[in-house]
Amino acid sequence: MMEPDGRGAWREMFARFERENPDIRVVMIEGPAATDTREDIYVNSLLAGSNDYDLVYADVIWIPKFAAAGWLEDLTDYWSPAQWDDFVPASLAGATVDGRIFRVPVQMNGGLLYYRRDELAEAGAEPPRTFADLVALSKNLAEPGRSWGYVWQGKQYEGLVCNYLEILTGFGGYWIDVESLSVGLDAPEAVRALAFLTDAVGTISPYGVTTYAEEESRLLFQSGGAVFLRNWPYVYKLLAAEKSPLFEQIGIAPMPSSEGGRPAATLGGAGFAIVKSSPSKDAAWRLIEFLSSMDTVRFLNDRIGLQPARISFYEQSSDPMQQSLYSVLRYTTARPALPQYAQASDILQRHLSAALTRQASPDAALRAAAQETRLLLGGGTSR
Amino acid sequence: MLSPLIVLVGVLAVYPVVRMIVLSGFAQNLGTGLEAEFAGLGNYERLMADGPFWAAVGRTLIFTTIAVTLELILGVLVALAVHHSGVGRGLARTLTLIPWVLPTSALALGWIWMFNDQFGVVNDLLLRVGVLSQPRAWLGEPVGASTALVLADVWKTTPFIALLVLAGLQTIPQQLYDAAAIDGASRWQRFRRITLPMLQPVLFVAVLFRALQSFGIFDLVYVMTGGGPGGATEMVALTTYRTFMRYLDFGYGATLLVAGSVVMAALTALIWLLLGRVGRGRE
Repeated sequence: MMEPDGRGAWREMFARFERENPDIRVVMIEGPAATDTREDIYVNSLLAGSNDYDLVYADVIWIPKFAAAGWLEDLTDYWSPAQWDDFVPASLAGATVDGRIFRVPVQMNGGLLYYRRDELAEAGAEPPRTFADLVALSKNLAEPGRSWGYVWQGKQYEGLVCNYLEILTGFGGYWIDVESLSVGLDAPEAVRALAFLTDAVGTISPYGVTTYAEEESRLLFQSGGAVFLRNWPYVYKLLAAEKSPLFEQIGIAPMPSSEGGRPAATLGGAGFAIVKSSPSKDAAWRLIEFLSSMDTVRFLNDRIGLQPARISFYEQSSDPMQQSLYSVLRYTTARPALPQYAQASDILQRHLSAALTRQASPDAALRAAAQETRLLLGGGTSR
Repeated sequence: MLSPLIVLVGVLAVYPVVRMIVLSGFAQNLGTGLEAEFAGLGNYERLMADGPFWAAVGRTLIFTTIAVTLELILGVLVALAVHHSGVGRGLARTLTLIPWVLPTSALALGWIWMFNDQFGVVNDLLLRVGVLSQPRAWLGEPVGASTALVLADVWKTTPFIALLVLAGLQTIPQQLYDAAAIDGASRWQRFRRITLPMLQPVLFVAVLFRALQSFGIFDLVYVMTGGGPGGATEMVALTTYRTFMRYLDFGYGATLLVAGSVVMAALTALIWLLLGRVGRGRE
C-alpha cells in the first residue's frame, strides 16, 4: 500500500519491474494521503497476522515500533556494508534498531528555509545563517498589517516536533539520546530553543502559526504573507510553479542555527520494509532492489519530485537545485529510533503546544516534558 | 426462531464486551512483545493514577453537556419552524439534513480554514461587525478551540435532533391543540402543556443518542485540533485511540475502554433520570 499515485509514476515503475521479472506480479494499493491513516491500516493488518501485504511502504518513524512488534524482516544482511554506504547516514539511522536495518529508504525529506529572493535582494541581504539574522531580517522586511517574517508549523502534531527539533539541534541541544536514553529537554539549550519559538509567535510569526500544519503555512507564504517559510522539499515544486505568484522569487537555504552551531533538518521520508511473515520475501526483496536502484530513484525524482536518499545521485547530478537540497539533506537529524517514539512525541507535542499558546512558560513546559519522557523511558514500555 | 438472533447478538455485542473486559486484566504491549501476560488489577491501578485520562473524561463531559444542550434547543426550534412552515416542508427537511449526511472529517478540514487567523471567514465576519479589532487564532487558544469544536458539532448534529423532533411533532393529534385553544390557552401554554410532554419520549431518545455519540467524539477533534493546543481539547476517544493504535498498548487500551463504558453507563442513567421518567410520573 502506497500514497496516492496521482501521476502514475509508481504504477509505471511497477509495470517496468513486471516486464523485467515475468515471474513476479506486483499489486499496488493506493492508500489515503495521510501518513497516520496509512499507519493505522498497516497496524490493523499486521496485528491480525494476515498476509495482506508483503511490503510496507513505511514512514521513517514507524520502523522502531514495527520492528519491536516483530513484524519486519531484518534486512541488514541482504546487502553488503558497501551497498548500504551509498545511503545518507541519517536515512538509515532512523530505520536502524539495535544495529539492525529494517528498511531501504527510497525517498528522504528534511526541513528547509524558503525565502523571498526578491525581498532579500531588494534589501541587499543574504539568507540568514543564525537565528539572530532570521529575527532581524524578519523584523526589517515584514510589513506590519500586510506580511509577517517567518511562518512555520506550530499546531499540536508531529510536524511541531520536527520544527522544534531543528531549532533545538541548531542551538546545540538534543531530545533523547538513543544510546544512553538520557533526555535533554530540560537543558538550557532546549529552553532557549523553545523560547526562540515562543518569542516568535506574535512578533515575527502570526499568532496563527500555533494552528498551522504544512499547507496553512505554505498558503500564507505563497500569497505573499511572509518572507520566510520552514517547510519540506515537496512545496518547492508548488511555490516555483509558473502559475504560482512567487514564480522565480523563491530561494532555499538550510535552517539557521545559533552562532557557531550547525544547521539542522529533521529527517522525514519513506522506504520499503518486508513483512516478516510474508511467503514471498525473495520476490519482495527483488522489488525493493529495483525500486531503490539509481534508475528508479532518478525517474521518481524527475517525475514526482521525490528526493532520493542515495549519495551517488547527488554526486552525479549537475543541477544546482539538487546540490542545494543535498547540502540540507546530508545534515538531517533522525528522530529518536525508539519503540516508544509515538508516546515520546505525543508528550513533547503537548508541552510544546502549551508553551507556544502561553499556557505554560518554556521552562516549565520542558521540565514537565522531560520528567514524563524519563518516566516513559525508565519504566520500560509501560507494563 | 430466536436462536439465530441470539447468536448474532452474541457475536456482535456480547463477545467484544467480554473480550474487552478480559483483555483489561492483561498486559499486552510492545514491552511484552505483544503477547498477553496476566496482570491482575495492574491496569486498573494505573487507570486510577492516570490524571490526564480523567482530565479528558471531565473535558469530554463538559463538551457533551454544552454541545447537546445547544443542539437540543436549536433542534427543537428548527423542527417547530419546519413543522409550521407547511409549504416547502419537504425541501426544508432535506436542506436541514445536509450537514448531518456530510462526512465529518471533510467538514473538519473546512472548519480549520474557516477558523484560520489570516484567511478565515469567522475572523473576517467578526472584524467587519466590529466584535473583534484583531484577528484571532481560534484553534490556538484553549477556549477558542473548544468553542470551535462545539460550534462545528452543533452545526453538524442539530439536524439529527430536528428530524427526530419533527417526526414526534407530527404524531401529536391536532385535536389537543384545538381543545386547548377553545379553553383559551396561550401559544406558550400550548407548547409547555401539550407539545413538550408529548415530545418527551422523542427528546429522551434524541438526547440519549446524541450524548453517547458526543461523548465518543473523535473525527472532528482528530482533524481540527489533534487534541491541541497543549492538550486542551484532548477527548476520551482520542486518548483511547492513541493508546491502541499509536502505542500498541492493548491491555491498557482495553482498560480505558472499560472506564469509558462505565462513564457512558452513568451518563445514560442520568439522562434517564432527567428525561426518561418524568413523563411516566405524570401519566
